[in-house]
Amino acid sequence: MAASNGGTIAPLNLALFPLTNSSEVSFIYIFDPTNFNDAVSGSFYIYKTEDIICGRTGTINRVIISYRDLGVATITVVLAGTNDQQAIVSSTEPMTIGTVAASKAIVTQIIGISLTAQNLSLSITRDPNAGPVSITKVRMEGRVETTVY
Amino acid sequence: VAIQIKSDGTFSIEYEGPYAGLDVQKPETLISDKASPLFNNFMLRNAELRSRPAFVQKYQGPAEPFVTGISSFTDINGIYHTVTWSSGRNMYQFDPTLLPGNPWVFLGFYAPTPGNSSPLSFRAFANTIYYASIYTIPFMGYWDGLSISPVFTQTFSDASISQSVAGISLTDSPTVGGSLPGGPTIVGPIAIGGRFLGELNNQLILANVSIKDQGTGIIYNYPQTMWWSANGLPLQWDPTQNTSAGFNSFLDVGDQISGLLTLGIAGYIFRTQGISQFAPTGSAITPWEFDHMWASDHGIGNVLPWSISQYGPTGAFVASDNIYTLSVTNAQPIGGTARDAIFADIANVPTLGVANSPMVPFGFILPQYKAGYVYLTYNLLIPFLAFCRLYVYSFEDKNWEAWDLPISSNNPSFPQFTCAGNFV
Repeated sequence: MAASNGGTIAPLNLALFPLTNSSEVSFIYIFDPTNFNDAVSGSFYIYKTEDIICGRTGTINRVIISYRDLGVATITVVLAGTNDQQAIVSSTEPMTIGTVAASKAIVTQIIGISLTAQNLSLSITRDPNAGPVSITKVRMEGRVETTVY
Repeated sequence: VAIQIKSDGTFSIEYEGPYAGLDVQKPETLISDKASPLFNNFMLRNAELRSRPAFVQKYQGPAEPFVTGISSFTDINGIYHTVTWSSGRNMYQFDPTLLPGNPWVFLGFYAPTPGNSSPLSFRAFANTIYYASIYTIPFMGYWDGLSISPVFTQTFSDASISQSVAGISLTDSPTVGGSLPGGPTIVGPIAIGGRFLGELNNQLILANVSIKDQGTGIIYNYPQTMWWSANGLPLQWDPTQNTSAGFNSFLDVGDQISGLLTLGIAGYIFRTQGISQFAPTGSAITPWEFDHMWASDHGIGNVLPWSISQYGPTGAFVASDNIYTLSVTNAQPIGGTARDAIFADIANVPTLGVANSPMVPFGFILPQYKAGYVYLTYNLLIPFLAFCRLYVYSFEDKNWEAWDLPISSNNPSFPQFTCAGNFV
C-alpha cells in the first residue's frame, strides 16, 4: 500500500476560518474558547423593557449582578427609561468585576444605581479588550406607586 | 414571571438563563424576560451571558490568498489531511511540524486554469477528497492523500484527455453531449463540473452543471441539471460506458439549482424556490426517483447558494420567508423571533444572490469550536461594508445570537472572508 503524503494521525479538532486582507495575505482564524476577552470587539446586552405597572413611574434603586469570575473585566451598567416629557433618561455605572485569580466561582455584587422612569430597561456593556464577562443572574430592586385611583 | 410586586409597592425583577436570544418581533415590553430586543457579541451557551470567544489568528494562511474552501478527510491509511484550495489554483495541506512557521504545504495545482475565486464544493468519498467548481471553467478534481499532487484530468481509452476527472471521451462526446437539453453539437472531449457536489448511493453527484466542449472551447451551462457518476466508480460519468451514470435536467421547474444535501436514504436538490427529492431506486439504468416536493413558482427553497450546511441528519438553509432546518422527515422554520433582523440584514448585502462574489452570506454548521468545547450551531455570516455579522443559532437552546466581527468586504484595514469556516 502506498504511503501517505503528509497528514496527521488525528484531526485538528478546530473550527478554522480562512481570511484574506487587502494586501492579499491570508490568515487562519479561530473562535478561541479559552479566551472570552476579544481585543477588537466589544459586547452589549439589553434586557427586556419593563413597564412595571403601565402608566406608573417606578424607581429602581439597586441592581445585583451574579457572574462567574473569569478574570478582571470592566463593564458598564446602564438603566434607561422614559419620562412624562417623552424624553429618554438614563443612569450609568461603570464597575470592575472579577479577580486576577479568575477563580471560576460565581460571585455577586450589589450596584448602587438609581433611575426613576417609565419603561425601564437594563443593559450591560463591555468595551473591546475590557476583560471576559459571564453573567449568571441579574436582579433589579425598586418601588412603584400601586394605589388605585 | 421575572417581576414581583409587593403590596407596599416594592418590586424586584430577576433575569437568568436559559436565554431565548434575540427577539425583534414584539415590542420590547412584550418579549420574554429570557429574551433581548438587541444584543451583540454575547453568547448564551449553558444559560450564561458570556462575552463570545475571542476571534483571533491561529495560523498563518496559505501563501496563495483567497482561500475558497477548507476541509479534512481520512486517507486509506487512516491518516487525516486538512487541505485548502486558493483562488488561483493552488492546493495546500496542513503540516503541524512546520509550526510556528507557515504550516501550509503546497501540494500542486488543483484545477486546469487559475482564477477560481468562487467557493469550491467538496466531498470526501472512499478516502479521497473530491472537489468541483464551474467558476472559470467547469471541472472536478480529487486528491487521495497518497499521491504527490491533486488530479484534475482523466485519460480515456481512446487516448483523449478531459480537463476534469468528471469527463466524457472524445469518442462518446457527440452522443452524450447531444442528449443534453437543446441537443448541442459537441466535438469533445467533455469536461464536466458543477457548482455543488454531493454523494448518495455510492455515486458522486454534481448539481447546477456546466460542461466544456474542449473541441470547440464552448462552455454550456445547465443550472437545472444534476449529473451523477456510476455506482462505486467516481471517475466514470459516461452513461454510454456505464448505465448507472447519467444526468437529469429539471426542465419543469423555473428556477435554478442552488444547493444539494443528502440525508439518509434520500437526496435533496435545492432550487431557489423549491426542493426536489431524489431517492435511489436500485435500478442501474434509472437510479433515482425524483419528486419535486413543490414545483410552484414560489416556495421554500434555498435563496443563498452558500447558506446550505449539513451536520449528520440535519441540514440548514435560507429560504425566501425563513431559515429552515431539513431532516429526513420535514423542513422546520428556525428563524424564530430573530427572523426579521436576519432578513433585514440579508437584504442589505449589496451583491445578494451572486454566487461567485465573495460578498455573499455563508452558512455553516459547527459542532465545536475546538475539541471539548461543544456548541452545535448554524452560523450565518452576513458581510457588510465595514464589518461582518455572524448570526449564531443554537440547536440545543433554539435561540439566535448576533456577533459582529471587524472584518470587511471592502475595507482595506481588515481581512475578508472568502469561504465558510469549517470544523476540521
